[in-house]
Amino acid sequence: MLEHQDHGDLAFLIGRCANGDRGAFRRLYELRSAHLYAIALRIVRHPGLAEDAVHDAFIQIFKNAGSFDPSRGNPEAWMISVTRYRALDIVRRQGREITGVELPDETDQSPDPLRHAESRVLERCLELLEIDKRRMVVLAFVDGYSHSELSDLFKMPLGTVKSWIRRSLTTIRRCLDA
Amino acid sequence: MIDFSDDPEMLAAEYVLGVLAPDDVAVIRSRLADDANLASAVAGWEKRLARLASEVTPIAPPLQIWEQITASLEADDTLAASTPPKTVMPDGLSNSLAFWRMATAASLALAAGLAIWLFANPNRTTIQANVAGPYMTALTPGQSNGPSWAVQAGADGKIFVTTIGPAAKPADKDLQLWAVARGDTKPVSLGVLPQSGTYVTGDAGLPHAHLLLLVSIEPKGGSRTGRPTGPVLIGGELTRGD
Repeated sequence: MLEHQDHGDLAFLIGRCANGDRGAFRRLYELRSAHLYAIALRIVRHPGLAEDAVHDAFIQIFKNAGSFDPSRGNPEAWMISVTRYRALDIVRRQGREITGVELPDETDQSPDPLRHAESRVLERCLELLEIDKRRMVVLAFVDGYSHSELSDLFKMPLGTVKSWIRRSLTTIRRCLDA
Repeated sequence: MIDFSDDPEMLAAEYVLGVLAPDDVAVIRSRLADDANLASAVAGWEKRLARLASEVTPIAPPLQIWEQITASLEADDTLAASTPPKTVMPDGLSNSLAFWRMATAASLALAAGLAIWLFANPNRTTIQANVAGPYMTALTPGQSNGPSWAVQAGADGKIFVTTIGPAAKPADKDLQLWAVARGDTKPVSLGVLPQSGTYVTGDAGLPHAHLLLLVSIEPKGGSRTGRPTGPVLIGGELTRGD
């Protein structure tokens, strides 16, 4: 997980991938695939589709390794983003049944003493949001809910969902960048 | 549709959060390469929000994923070594002589291809029973194997595209279906084709008589520019089947 790894190691491996180093790519896969697979699975909710997302994401990571700029983004966030976009593309293309899905209260609450300081900061910022707004942000990011799916789930007009999300994102940015 | 006079910072945030509709996602992606402000806003939000995903507990992935990744990379290597560099079609593709030459050559192979397919597929009536329109074609390379599709237009404007022979394509590419109306030069996207089964397009509002259909190889999720950017695999014209 993020907290056990040095961003520098990941950035170095991605740099090696840009030179076509398959051994570095293998190492990157070993380090990150379990987390990225879990992230994809939360979004697509089907092991076969999660496999597709992770497969496509790693191919893209290997091929676009040269375009990753460590001075602009962190390697962890970049790999998560590539995987999430693939998973979201799959879910939007295939559609999915969301009725009857129980709303998770929050993200996993398993206590992790090593939880990265950055995550704790984000958690504090999320706590500034009302409970339903916080749920919407987490359901969108972690579970891949779109504006319209959130509108169905919360039985709220689409416009209201959109403005709640925008206000929440503004609050989060102000808090994190402070 | 999203409005780019809107705050680009907020559009970037919504894009990264993943709440936007597919059309809006495609618009954002098409602008990322040229819009440095948007790209930097997206990178900023990716960094901020990625921390949310660190709460997801890792799950060991099935072992075959790595094997498939390796196989895909090797297939790409083989493809790169065995074929001349692919022609990347510019946006002005519709004026390109090569494009039309390829499309014409492909449509010449159609009549024979359709006859073979109809003969070899007595179950075709189940496909045809779903639709009421008389226009059909087959997209085949004119060989006995290789990628091929049976196409039938419905009376409601939708077009049914059934995979007969799946196409081999690099794992990071998708096959995109395009239509060009007779007398027109601009291909209209009808979406990304699945690897198997029957794909049904929306009603693109195009006349079906002599509608030219093309399949091109595009980046995953389809062309970012709204026009074909990769090589055209195959093409054919819809003709009356009755």
